[in-house]
Amino acid sequence: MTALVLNADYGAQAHEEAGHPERPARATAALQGVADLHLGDDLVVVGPRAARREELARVHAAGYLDELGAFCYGGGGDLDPDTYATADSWTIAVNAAGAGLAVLDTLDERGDGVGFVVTRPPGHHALADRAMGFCLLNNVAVAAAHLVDAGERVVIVDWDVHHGNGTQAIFWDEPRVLYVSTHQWPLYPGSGTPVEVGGPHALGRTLNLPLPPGATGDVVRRALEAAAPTVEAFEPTWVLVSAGFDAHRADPLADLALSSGDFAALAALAGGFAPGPGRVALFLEGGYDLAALRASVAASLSALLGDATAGETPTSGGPGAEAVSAALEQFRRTVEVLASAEEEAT
Amino acid sequence: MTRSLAVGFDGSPDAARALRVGLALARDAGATTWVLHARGLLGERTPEPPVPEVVSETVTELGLDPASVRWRVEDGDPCSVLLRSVGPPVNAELLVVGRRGHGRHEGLLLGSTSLELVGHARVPVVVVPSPHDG
Repeated sequence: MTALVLNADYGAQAHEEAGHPERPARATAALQGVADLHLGDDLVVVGPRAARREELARVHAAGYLDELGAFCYGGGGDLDPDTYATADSWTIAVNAAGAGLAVLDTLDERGDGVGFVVTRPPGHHALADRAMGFCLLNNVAVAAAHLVDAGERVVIVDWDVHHGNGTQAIFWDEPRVLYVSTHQWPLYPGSGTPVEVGGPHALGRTLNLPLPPGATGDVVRRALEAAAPTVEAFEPTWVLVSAGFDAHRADPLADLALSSGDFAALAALAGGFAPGPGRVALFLEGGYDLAALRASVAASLSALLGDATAGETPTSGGPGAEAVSAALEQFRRTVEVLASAEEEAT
Repeated sequence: MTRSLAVGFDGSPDAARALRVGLALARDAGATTWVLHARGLLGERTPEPPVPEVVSETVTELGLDPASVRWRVEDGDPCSVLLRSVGPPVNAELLVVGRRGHGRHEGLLLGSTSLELVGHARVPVVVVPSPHDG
């Protein structure tokens, strides 16, 4: 199988703030992880393109796009205590959002391969009208909306250690997108409880599986396995993964305890949700330890290409096994209660 | 009568001014003050960051009973943390924030906690201006 990887060399070096963990070296490390696989002719590098305004406007408010562009062109600065922009960040963010579209279009044309979208800044915290959590534009949401617009049904699997509040909010009431997230809780951004299940038109289209600090790979795998019936019932035609690698035990921003081998297992599980070849794409989100990021990218991509045993030894024995079943039960009950309330109201 | 109010506190000079206003309002109303600190992606991740000195000093200066002031650290962006505080355990009936926090950006367009709050809060919001505000 072919790996399609976006060429991240589009000036993203200019989105940088001294000392900030979301830094250009992350993209380099991720690309090194790809290079470590020595894919030869099986590696296809897709050229970048800028997302068009109408493609961004599917998920972002027009006023926000104007304001963010003007803020960046005005020199940038801090958007909140976590999130910065530079004078070049608008151009870079628009290319990051377009990167996913370029990979999806290429996958669609070829009808084969797996996509890995190496972009930064990351996207899954970005709301329709607000930057936050290092994120300016919601890359995976722009890609999912592009697919939905073409009549597809998209499952977004988000295994970043932080809940993807932006993606959840953007598709809150969209029945053609299923959002499944495993994340540490409590942790930034504070959302992502199992009772958050989607809006009235999309009840059960948001599935949150929060995990306690210290949870190991076996627990996260169990969470994705537990989500499988919900995903299968949804019958997705595409699988997009918000692939953050900050659940790795070496990551400085969180406290889950995964190894790179655990990400291989997660990638294999997520890839299994796809209805056929050429329908899976990973989007880089978090991951701030460069060595862990490099190893985890290599292991994940390797797994999607057929070797699910890649990477460090998978981890087990951490807390949280009971949290998965409890979360699923809470999810089911909440969907039931809200659905019957909706029924009564109509 | 207000029984509980929440003050957003990020350690900035504006937050200190908001703290003073919030505590004075709480004293007059006989309410509990929750001083809320939003823990973002960056910064400390210790389970219980200590109460900042400026909080204890202002409590003493205004002659408040320390038991009527609660310090709470929550994960999330400042706006979400304050919006959530209208529910348990804080049950805030009033939110008090400074005009701008630590960010260099002055908050007219993006990421302004005070503007977001005013737009989304289900309870009254007091925005305490900076001395630089006209």
